[in-house]
Amino acid sequence: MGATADITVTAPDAYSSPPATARTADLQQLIAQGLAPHTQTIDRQGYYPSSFMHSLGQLGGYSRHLASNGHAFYAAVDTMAQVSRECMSTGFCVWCQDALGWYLDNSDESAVRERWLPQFASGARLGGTGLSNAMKHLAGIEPLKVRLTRVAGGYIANGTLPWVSNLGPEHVFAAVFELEGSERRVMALTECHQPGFTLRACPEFIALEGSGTYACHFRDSFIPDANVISHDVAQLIPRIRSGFVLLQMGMGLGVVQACIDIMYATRETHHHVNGFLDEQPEALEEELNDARRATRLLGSEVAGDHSDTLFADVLQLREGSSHLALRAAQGAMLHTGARGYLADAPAQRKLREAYFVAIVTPAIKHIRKELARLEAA
Amino acid sequence: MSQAALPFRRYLCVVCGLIYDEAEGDPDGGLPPGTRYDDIPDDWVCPDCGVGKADFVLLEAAQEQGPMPGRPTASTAPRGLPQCPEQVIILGGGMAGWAAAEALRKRDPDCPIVLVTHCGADVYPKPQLSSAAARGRTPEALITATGAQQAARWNITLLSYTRVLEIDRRHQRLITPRGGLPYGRLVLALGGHQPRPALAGSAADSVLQVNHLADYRRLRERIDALSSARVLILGAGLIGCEFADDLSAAGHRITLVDQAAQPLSRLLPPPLATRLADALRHRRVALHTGSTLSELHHMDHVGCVEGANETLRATLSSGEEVTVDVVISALGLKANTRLARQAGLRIGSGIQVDDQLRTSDPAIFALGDCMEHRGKLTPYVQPLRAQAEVIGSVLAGQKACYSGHDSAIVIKTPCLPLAVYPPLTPGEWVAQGEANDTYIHYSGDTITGFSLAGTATSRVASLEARLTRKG
Repeated sequence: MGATADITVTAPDAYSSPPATARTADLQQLIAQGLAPHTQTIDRQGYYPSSFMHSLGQLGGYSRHLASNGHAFYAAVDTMAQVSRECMSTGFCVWCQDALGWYLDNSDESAVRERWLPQFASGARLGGTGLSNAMKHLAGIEPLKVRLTRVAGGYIANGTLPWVSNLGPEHVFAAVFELEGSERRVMALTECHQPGFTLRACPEFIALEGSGTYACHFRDSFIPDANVISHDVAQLIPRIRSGFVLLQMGMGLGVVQACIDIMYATRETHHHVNGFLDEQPEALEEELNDARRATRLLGSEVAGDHSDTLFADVLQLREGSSHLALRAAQGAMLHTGARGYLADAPAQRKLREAYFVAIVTPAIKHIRKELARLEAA
Repeated sequence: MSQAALPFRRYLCVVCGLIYDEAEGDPDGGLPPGTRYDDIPDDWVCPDCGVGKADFVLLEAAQEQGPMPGRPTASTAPRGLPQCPEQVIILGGGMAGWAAAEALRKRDPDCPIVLVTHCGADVYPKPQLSSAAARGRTPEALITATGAQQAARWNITLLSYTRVLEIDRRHQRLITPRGGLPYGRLVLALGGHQPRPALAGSAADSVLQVNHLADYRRLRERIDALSSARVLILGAGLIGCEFADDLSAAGHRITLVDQAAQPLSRLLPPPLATRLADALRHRRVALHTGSTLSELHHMDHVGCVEGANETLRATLSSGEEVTVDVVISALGLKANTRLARQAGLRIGSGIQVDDQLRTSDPAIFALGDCMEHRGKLTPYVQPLRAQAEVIGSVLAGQKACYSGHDSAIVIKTPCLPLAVYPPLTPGEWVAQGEANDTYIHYSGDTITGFSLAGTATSRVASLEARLTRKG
């Protein structure tokens, strides 16, 4: 160590255990009482934890990253991480809700923002984001799947989005649409009970069955101007993309922490044999803390910096969280052994959840493609 | 002592590994929370594997933990990032970073060296950015080796397109979006930046700065679309004058704006500054001295030339308006100190170093545009090599000392070549000879600087030798 006495840097330990404020204690209690008893049901039977989702909103869980709270992105990510540590399916629902609020926070249309944002920020209304299609479209991976036609007072939508999450009959979601006969792309809210719109159950997934994920069918469904977030997303997308991706860190950080918890727990009885495994919780903890610090530092920049360079930084961090989650979950399985193979064992649930971190938009392959494009520019 | 006073205990199923916790009980199996092991009925079975309570053992007995066998708990997993705790990390992929990497590798063939940079780390001669513009060279033609080629040549691990977010000095660790990196010693070659001018107007964001190859690429994209671009250059210092001269030689129409009364006024004796101004005017450079740029607006599309370029209207502080295609800001270089400042290193106008080029943290060194040695910045290419040699030697365990002796600054303005050895002590400029091309600076009887123009620049070496500045 070449360190000197006048060091003023913050120890990474400060990031690993958030201060036990009242807010943290409330959150821990809500997770223990309102979520943990349902984790198995969510995972095995596809139960959507509606009540928990509303309660988290009442604790302020969906508003920390918004302008009104000074863009405290790390606090939003940390909340999501604590939820994901227990149940990442629900952590993903938290992300959906956070992302929806983030789009509205950046909306060009102040009337739409004022009408909807308080409902999403407080968790009074729940909802999701159909932006996966748009993100892949922007990276040249797939075309936009729902098309709009301009009519008086709004647009008529036709098409299908295959998977949109955190939905239910009373939910709302944002998506990007192609405008017929125009280069313009529109972002608007869809209310799940609006005429011409139907939610259809998806084929069964191996995990996240309780995330309220549906296929969204638009058949001549009218979207009023009062629900349009942006009539031309060209300027909006650069403002929201880094925050959109950075918020997802909450899922990866939470899963990795849960896997570390599992490894430490098994060490109590199996240290004599688990020590021979490659992945050990101490090393993973160090990497988890690195990722937390990077999240905190980039979190202080995403609201004000819309550059490609910052987006590339965020994508690198996000990719790293995918790899880390996969390794940690694999490690948790191997540390747990046969008990981890039981159908209700946390280790195998975390393994299935970790693959989601690596596959949900932007997936590892999507990030690699995007980074190659950004580095070539 | 009654059992109720005992802490709850946990029992391990030796068959399947389930842990029975007395505090939690097994409500699904008919055991309410708080059911002691002793009170479990004999017909109760393990919820996971079906064996009876006899196959459970008290966990504390199984818990006697010896030292961890097998691999140490340090990071052993593959991570993609170099994880040797002793490695030397060089931060910055410009000329300074590569010079330090080469200097160390020449002295130590084995030590792991990692170069981390936010750019691609391609090697190119930065001082030639300006003359390349005059000769119409493409950015690619300036690259003498790609980052990957240079890394292979010197056996260096290159992490390009990687931004360092934080230096954690306590754990000797760099935080990046790609993950954490341990360092044994760290070399900061962070470079400098030109401050952005504070401008009003709709086009304030379209001001270019040419400090890197990527900037040069953007400049070329803008001017190549036009046969004769109207270019406003803000700042008549070294970089501003060189670009004004070179771009005018390439057929572009230049407006050069500076607050001072003459170009290079802080460096040159007044008669030479006047000569330079005349030479630039002879190149049809429109000089606006005693003025600055205050507003920049996009013009209405009426009259806009075709293509991607937009016409801009620049308003000077004097009230004059100039119509231009491109604005380049070339205000004086500032040291990049943000990371070092966050890390708590001692900072003046640059990152402060001693004669071994060590910062206030003995594990961290600095060189080039980002560092301050004996109260001075050295934002020139000339001293880089000497600084890199000192760092290479010290890191390789050899003795070395950077004297910080100044050398002359060669200013590449083809319309009037100049070489200046700036004086540090007060005194006066004295003309030598009749040609108005040689000025010697005296502090008392001592020569403390010189300025040479035109053919007199060939005297640099002999005059440098005569200087007796104390190191």
